[in-house]
Amino acid sequence: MVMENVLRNAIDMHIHCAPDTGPRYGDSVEIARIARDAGMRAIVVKDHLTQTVHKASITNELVPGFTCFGAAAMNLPNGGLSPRAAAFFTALGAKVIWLPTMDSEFTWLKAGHGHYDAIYATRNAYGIDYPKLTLLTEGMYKGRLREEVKQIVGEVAKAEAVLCSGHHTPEETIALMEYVKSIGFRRALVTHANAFLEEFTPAVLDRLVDLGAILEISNGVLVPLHGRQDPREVVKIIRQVGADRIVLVSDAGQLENPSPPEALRSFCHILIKEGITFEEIKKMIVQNPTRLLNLEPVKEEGK
Amino acid sequence: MIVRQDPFLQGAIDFHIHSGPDTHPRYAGCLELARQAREAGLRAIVLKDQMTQSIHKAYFINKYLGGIQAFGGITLNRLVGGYDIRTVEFACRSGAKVIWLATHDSGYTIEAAKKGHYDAIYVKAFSFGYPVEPLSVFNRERTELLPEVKKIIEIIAGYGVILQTGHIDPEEALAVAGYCQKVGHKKLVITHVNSFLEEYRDEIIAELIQKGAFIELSYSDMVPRHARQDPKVCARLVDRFGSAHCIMESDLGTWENISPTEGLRCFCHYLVHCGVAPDAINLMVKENPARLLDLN
Repeated sequence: MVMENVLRNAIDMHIHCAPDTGPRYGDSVEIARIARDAGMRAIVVKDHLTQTVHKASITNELVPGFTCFGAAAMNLPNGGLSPRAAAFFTALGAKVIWLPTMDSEFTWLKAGHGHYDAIYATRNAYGIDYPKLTLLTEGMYKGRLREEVKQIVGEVAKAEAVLCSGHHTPEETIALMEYVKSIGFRRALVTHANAFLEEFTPAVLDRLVDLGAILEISNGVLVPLHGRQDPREVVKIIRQVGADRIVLVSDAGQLENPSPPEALRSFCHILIKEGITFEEIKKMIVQNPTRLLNLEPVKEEGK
Repeated sequence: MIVRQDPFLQGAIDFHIHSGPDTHPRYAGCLELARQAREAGLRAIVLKDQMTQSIHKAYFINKYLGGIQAFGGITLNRLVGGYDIRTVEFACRSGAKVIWLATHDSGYTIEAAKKGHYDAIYVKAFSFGYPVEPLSVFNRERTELLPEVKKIIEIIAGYGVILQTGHIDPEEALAVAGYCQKVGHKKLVITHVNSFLEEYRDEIIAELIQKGAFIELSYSDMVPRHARQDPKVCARLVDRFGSAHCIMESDLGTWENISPTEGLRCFCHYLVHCGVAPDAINLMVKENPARLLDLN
């Protein structure tokens, strides 16, 4: 029996790669080649502490027939919650802007309670104590959305890039998505919404989706060294909000995990085994990312 | 663009090149500039970005182009957190070979831009329309280096990375040089000092050199749209302070100017015309930078 290649025209919106200060599966050129050879259309590469636009641009020069998109996460070594930095990154060509990830207060709260993100928060701190970031004027749970966050969203919207929420509490993320909705911006993703299900309850996810957000669902939460999440949890989320509102990503690139295309392929097939249809999968790895990244729709969609 | 194979360029090092991708229009992407430099005979180039690291660019040149060594670093403007210890640790672990103190976000440059220095073009372009809080290496009273700046110098010294002063004022540079001397860090370069000669007077340059600093001489100050500096100015600095303490670089890569490699070549010849000995030029464009970069 010949199986249709699930990765055909797929886009992985969340991949880590070398060069980085931690060990990586490969550099962006190597990963782009593997992804291209697996039939994929594009990848978004993400670093925590610097922009990846340089990587992406050079990769596109060296790997024809494929697109690598650059991004930036607004952690402190990228300027923190700086609208000027967001303007710089989008002008440079960043296609995705993450709000703070490793440098958020929520990351460190969860890390302190045993979440696997502790591995990465610690690794990216280099033993240095530094202030943690929140999106609200009074911290993680109270207050209004910070003005600088609104300005960052404005820069992302102006550039027609994609906004990813980063690692924040439901209160922060809901306030963010309320603002996103209020300005009519439609390219906002909730970063690996399946990574923090204790806080991101079905009611929270419903609220976020009502506000127009797309949920990013990450295979990184399932791998042995991370959350070892049961794939049926992911199925539940897909059934709750619908495949139209979800993007599946590998979040891979760590040395110890499968290569990003292999991780994404396996993630898709595991979900198919659990009852998600092939067409639903293609929405989540082809159509939805294609729309978010403003790309021309591909022919043969859904195959 | 083909650059003449010139004896001055054989084994030469360009210590300061701007390349794409960048938000400011650049002569070419980093791979292309590295290729041109390699074909002209250069041995190494140092890439500089104003608002982010250039370490990844160097990585890809070294891995996928070859035949020339590229070095990257980071410039400590606001968009990388300013004088942020963790940023410096990140950059050094990522393979930075050069760390520049603040350039367009330094108080010195922001003030100079207001008074008509050509850097105003870049200060404005890199503000992206937002107000910029000027950076200083000093505490408010300007009596002492900030603790984080001291720590940054210690980290840089520990990794054996070159410290470039960027666009800081002479008092700041003297304090930084003093601290480098105190911690035994010998790789200190006063970034294109010929851009700032109104404030960097001879007695200050002499004191910086006495504290162990190299002075960097940039071709970029001579180009038509910048300071239109007479090459005799740099020739005089070489004569006054000695080529053993000088490094030449292009500081090019700006779209409207000649290519960096071509700029470096012309710079060598201009100085010869102004009376600098070819041996001295070779020292400033080959041996001195090679020593700082730990090349044989």
